[in-house]
Amino acid sequence: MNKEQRRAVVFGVLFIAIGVLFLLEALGVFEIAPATLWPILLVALGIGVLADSGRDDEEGPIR
Amino acid sequence: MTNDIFTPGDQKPTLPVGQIVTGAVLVAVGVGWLLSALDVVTIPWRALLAAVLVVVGIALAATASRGAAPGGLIGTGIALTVILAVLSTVSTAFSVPLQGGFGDRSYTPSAASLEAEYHLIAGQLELSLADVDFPVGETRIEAGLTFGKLVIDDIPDDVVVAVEVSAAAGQVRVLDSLWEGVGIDESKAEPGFADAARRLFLDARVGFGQIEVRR
Repeated sequence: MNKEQRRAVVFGVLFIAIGVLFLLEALGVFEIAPATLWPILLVALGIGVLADSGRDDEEGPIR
Repeated sequence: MTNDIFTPGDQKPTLPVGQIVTGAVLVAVGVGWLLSALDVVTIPWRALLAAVLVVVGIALAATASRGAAPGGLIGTGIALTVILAVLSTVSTAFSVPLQGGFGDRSYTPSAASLEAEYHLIAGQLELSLADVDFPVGETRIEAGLTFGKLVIDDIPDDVVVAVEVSAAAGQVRVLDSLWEGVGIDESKAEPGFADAARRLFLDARVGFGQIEVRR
């Protein structure tokens, strides 16, 4: 899996998870306190950045 | 020169999923916004945008498996996430339900058409009660606006009013009382409310803006 594909998968999974979270909140299943929401989003952003920082599998060996 | 797999030489004959989904999202939101502005339908914006975010996530995963270009899907997803987070924060922190549409709405209901709740996300919401023949007992009306001005007026003289009002920031004028500033959360009842034959209880909330309640 190259870097572009890995980025798409990670952000795709994050968007699905965050979307489901917001959807359940909008439907009144639960309420997300702002003090909880923003740290969760910060962690999600961090995961996205970390996933984006890896080397491309199709790159050659490090010289 | 680049390690990007999406160079012309490597391009696979796959559907541009990213562009298709981004375009479909823009069309869907635009049509929804238009219908909402024309008061044709009431769009549950938060649920809709959250569902769109899930679709964007699925499309992103699909692009990866097919080797297609994301085509702006990551940017679309991030923008949706920020919008939803801000809406959630405003709604939760300031107890303002995010319902209704956008623009100016004016309602002059009769007793039969009077609804229990009126909501608008942004704009001016005016509720004139001149034509309402209030029944004996208590009538409750809830009105919520996230950004803008909320006006409830023409309350009949034979109806005694009690209100609960809140505003994250702005100005609230209820009959002869005025509150300004941030974090307004007040209640007021006219003398004799508890014993009156016809009572109106108003629950009026704005996020940022004005509330005006007058006869």
